[in-house]
Amino acid sequence: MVDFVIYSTTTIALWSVLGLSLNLQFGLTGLVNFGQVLPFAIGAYGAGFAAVHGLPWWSGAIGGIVLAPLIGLLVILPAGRLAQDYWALITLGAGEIFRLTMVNVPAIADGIEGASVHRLGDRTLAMLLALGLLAVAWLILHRIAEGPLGRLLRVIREDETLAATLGRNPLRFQMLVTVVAWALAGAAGVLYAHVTGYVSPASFMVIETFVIWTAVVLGGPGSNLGVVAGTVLVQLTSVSTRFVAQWTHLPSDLVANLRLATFGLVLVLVFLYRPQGLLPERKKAYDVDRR
Amino acid sequence: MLTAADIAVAFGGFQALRGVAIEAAPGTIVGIVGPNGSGKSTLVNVISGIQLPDRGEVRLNGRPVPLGRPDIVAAHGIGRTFQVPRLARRLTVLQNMLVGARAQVGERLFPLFLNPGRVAGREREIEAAALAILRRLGLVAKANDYASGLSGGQQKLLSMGMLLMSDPGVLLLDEPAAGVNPVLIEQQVAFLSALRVEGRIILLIEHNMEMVANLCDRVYVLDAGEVIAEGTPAAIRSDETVMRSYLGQPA
Amino acid sequence: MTQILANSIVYASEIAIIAVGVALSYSILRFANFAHVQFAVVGGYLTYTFAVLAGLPVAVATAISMVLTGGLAVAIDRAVFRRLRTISPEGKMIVSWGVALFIRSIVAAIFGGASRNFPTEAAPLALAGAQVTSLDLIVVAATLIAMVVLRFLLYRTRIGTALRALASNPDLAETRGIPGERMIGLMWFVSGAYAALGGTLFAIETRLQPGMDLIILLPTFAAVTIGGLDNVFGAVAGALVLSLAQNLLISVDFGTLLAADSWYVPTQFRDYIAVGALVVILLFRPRRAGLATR
Repeated sequence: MVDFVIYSTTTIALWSVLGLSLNLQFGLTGLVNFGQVLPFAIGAYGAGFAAVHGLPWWSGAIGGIVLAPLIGLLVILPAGRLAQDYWALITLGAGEIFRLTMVNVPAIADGIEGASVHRLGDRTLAMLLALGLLAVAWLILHRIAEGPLGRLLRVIREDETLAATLGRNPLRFQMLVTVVAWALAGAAGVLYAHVTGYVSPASFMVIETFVIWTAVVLGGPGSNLGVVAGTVLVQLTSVSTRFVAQWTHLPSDLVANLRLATFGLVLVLVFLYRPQGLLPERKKAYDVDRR
Repeated sequence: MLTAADIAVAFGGFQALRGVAIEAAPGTIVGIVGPNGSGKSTLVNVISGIQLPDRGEVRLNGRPVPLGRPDIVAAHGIGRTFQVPRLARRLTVLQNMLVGARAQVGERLFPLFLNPGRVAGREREIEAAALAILRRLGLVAKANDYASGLSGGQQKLLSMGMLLMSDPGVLLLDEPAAGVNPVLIEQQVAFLSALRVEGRIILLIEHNMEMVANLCDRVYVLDAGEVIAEGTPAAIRSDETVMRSYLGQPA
Repeated sequence: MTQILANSIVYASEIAIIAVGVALSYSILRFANFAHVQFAVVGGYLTYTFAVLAGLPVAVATAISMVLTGGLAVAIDRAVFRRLRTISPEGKMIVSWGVALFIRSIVAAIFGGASRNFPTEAAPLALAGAQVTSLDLIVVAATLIAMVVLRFLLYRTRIGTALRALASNPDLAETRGIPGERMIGLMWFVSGAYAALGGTLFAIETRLQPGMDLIILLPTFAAVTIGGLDNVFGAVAGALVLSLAQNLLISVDFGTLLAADSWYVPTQFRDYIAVGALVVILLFRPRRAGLATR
């Protein structure tokens, strides 16, 4: 039981970082990133590459965390010229290109078989590291969201042209957001690799991006707390699939599929009936009479 | 002095502007009138950088203003409002005002984290400035309401307030009086007169001929992408070319 | 060379039938509908149910599947997308992923993840120097017929003309008394039915499995993008171009071309063409005239 709690906490913490990363891009800045799995994968594969090529683990970690935002910059560049729905397709494509490359170029990290990475034997340590990363992500995201930068990002989200006529270059801020968000997701990827002890392309399919989206949309885009809450719900559902299967005597495959169907249904229902999510973005009110 | 020379814009087959030139001196309000579709908004879109022209140039005090880059145009002290107000609807009135201010150190990542004192200080400054302007505009009671909750006329006032936050040398106003009740229009007129006294350049697109007559020192009449007349409001009113073309109904 | 051409035409046919639905829905509803490929999957499974489990002839089973899937598509529009007509295109895309996830998972839940085969006999034939099977001919024939029917529907019927009017100018069409919602329902039905046909053909040619959706997704969207997103018959051309490019890439002996040992691009790299084409075309699309900023 304790093991399960530790495992769940670690999982929830890691996926919360991914959710916060997507929240910074989509919830605050309006960037529809359908390739959120990509920086996660880059981080994990940084660790995988180092392991496969006999390099020290920290070089893989740094490599992954640095490479993710760099590739992010490449992907965000066309966003300035394209409507968001086209850019979303490009992010989807980018994620798939990376995954295909990992499958087709075994020299990088053992291709479709996957590569072993040093696994953190002490599960409590793994959990604490994940919680630590979540704390760092939270502090960064919270300060951005509550400060003047967050205010400007929301204006860019609402109306890029308005932001431009107010003297800001929207692309510059979209790039900034991408760097921060993808670096955090990359860090989560590195940690994920060392927590599971294994990287393979199968862990980074398109569906993972949409599990993160479900958490963000359900929890409340724009609200950091909402996104974490959404992640908690989504991931608790995921980790308890096994138990539901045992309890209902249904095959676990079936339960897993029903769980995914529920996520899809949740995405749709939230848009229909509560688009602001469970814990919506709160209004920032000022004390007007003080002056 | 703001000058635009030989501005031409074509959308597909349609020639919106055919080589338009205008100039506006500091401490004056210049009106731009003409029937719908004559190119008034397109002209302001070009000057403010939202629309890239096919040819032409814009200069402020002799120095060229980059075309097609609204953020750089704004950095030159040229600000604008929109015919249909552009606001951040899911932010409050006050937050919209705060974004209007320039040089916000809190929008840069490192000061945001490493110099919170300076960020907080600047925030207090612009909050005070924003509340002062909101009071002048009569909107301070709505400071913490979402911008989407304002009436059309109030949204126009808010747009003007946001514009003022950046202390612009040049104001481009796209039909500020459209759909606004007469009381608020009077407020706008008083406001703009005060701004003129401060030596700013104001370009005013309007259909409301009374407002134009009362406020403008000089008027350009546009029709089908060309300037067909220019002069004082009185001179324009008795100009035959103008009378022959459709001038636009008073509000 | 004729072999490459033959293979390309067969593959392109399967993709094209599915792609036209995406282009249709993009032209009328202005968003990229990710749920569309799921209709192909549903169609494949429905045909399987009626043909293999209920013993009906394949053609009949396919027809039933097309009607049912078309109906499903309409039902989903009524239940979900109709109520979200006014949200942003990005929002509609996200919702369509939710619908896609739901449909796919239900199919996998009902039928299980293992792949199944249609018990069809494919007689090998030699045609103009290329090796094809009788199945290939059926696929291509079915596609040709489907395209002719679609062309007729869109260009020679009043309903089709109304649909095209709606696509080019939604507001104008409404004021002319063309009932937008009914047209939209028709569009969904046609899209769904065609997707079902495409999915069935694909499943018969290869395999029936829930994972079909991901195999079809990128080539379909690549074909639609190449053809110009809202251009229905452009999607067909796009499918052909894509298919040819893919097959050419893996057939050319780059090794000997570069005066070295024989070397071919590995077949898996075909996927890169689809994704690459998608990204490159989106990047270099001529921008819509108008504002310098979005």
